[in-house]
Amino acid sequence: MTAEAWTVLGGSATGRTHITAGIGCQDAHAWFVGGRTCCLAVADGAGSRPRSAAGSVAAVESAVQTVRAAAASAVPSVEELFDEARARLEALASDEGCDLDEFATTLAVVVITDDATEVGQVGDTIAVVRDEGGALRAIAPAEKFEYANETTFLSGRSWRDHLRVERLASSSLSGVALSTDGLRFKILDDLTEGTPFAPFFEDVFAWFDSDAATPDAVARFIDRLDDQSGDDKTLVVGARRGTGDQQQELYVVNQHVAEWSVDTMPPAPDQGGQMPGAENGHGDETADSSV
Amino acid sequence: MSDLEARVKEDNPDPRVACALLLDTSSSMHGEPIQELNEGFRVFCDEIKDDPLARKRTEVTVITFGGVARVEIPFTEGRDLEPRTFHANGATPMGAALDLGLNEISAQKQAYKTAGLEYYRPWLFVISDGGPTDGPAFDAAAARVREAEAAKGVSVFGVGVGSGDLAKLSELSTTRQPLLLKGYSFIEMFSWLSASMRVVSNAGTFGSTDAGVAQAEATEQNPLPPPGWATW
Repeated sequence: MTAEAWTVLGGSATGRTHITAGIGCQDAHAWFVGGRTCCLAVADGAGSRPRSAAGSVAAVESAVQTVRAAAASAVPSVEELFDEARARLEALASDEGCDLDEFATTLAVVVITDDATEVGQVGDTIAVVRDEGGALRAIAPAEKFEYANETTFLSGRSWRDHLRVERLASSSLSGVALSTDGLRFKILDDLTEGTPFAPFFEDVFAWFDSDAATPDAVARFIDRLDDQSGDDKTLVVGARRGTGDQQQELYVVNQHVAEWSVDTMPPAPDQGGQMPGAENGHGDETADSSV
Repeated sequence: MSDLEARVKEDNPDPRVACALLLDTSSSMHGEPIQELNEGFRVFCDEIKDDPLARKRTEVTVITFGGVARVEIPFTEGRDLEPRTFHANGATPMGAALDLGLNEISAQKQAYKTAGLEYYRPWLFVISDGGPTDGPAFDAAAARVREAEAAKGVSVFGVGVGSGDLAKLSELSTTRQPLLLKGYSFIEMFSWLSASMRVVSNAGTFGSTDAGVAQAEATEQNPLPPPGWATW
């Protein structure tokens, strides 16, 4: 097993059609790295306005918070993370006295410990893993064309039947990437099969090892990408990098509602402060850790 | 220090909006009406090419019903759509044309699925200056159209010209009333249609199944331009 700790970077960008329609960004992402434990989450909110973004933010927040709150020796299973996230949506709906569907969202979560890496997905999210040799593989792609069905959401009645989980040995992995469906035309080689477009992930993981690798650089890249979908775009990438201090990081970023939380920030990048939601905490080691 | 630059897949196919134009070319359209309709269609062919997304996402088929109903232009991408001169002749087999239109749309949708293409909700756009002369066939076809509309499989638009039978056209949709064309303002109408295709093909309301399309439509409204060519 490699001794290197996981580092995570990622960003979201409002889709072209969402800008035109004036509905903002419903994608959300979050991650947590604590000691040897790491959790990544992305979500695509699809509920009715004005709550469509609240569902995706709550889902990713719940996943990383639950991992963060657990002892390193008792990291929850990905199924438990989905149960928690679902309960969070139910609480939201109950608090606001509205229908659960208002918070409809997809959700993809990766939780990594020394031993196991678990990938869970509900809906048309994209999850790609890279093995030690650099080979790429999509994890449980959503069946887009075979299903007579629509996209399934965490808010749906039968969400558990649609939860796709895969467990892998962490020692076999060198990288993971999560995305919502907005980038599918650009990062998938075959839309029907859901196979990854290898050159994209190769370039991203190679860049990951450079000094330029910062969350806002990810957001800038996907923001300027002419993506064909017009949908909100999100990319979160984790890879083993460096052996330095095991930092605790927690991000929850959603450009639309500008809601985010920070524990300890990664080293301040040169180009910090470019993206909404990313500027507040750079280099601020004392940021309020309450979420 | 370099920013993130990653190679991306450039040739995944765009989602498609299938638009079936059902044009009444019966003998009563003879003269100015058919001339204006031809001119309007020429404008449509030009304008659909102007928008970078509409030109590759819109696919148009033209079905005429004058004497017989037939596919005059099979589904063609906007960028390859060429004007054609239609001639007025014969009776008004609108029912047969509706059946053809639904069949073509259904086959096209199946082709999209086979090819792994996503799609917007198809359009069925019917223009007539009279009433159907194939009564029983029309009744059955109209029921099929309403059924397809209710299943969110197609968006239905009816346009009456001159003494066009709006009551019959209104049987095609339970959600959208037919409109009466102002005089023979086909050019304005076709210009509106190309603008509408532009709105649709720039929106994110597509999916890989009818249900997926309906889901996308539920979260994103894209109003069409006002139909200034209609009388009220």
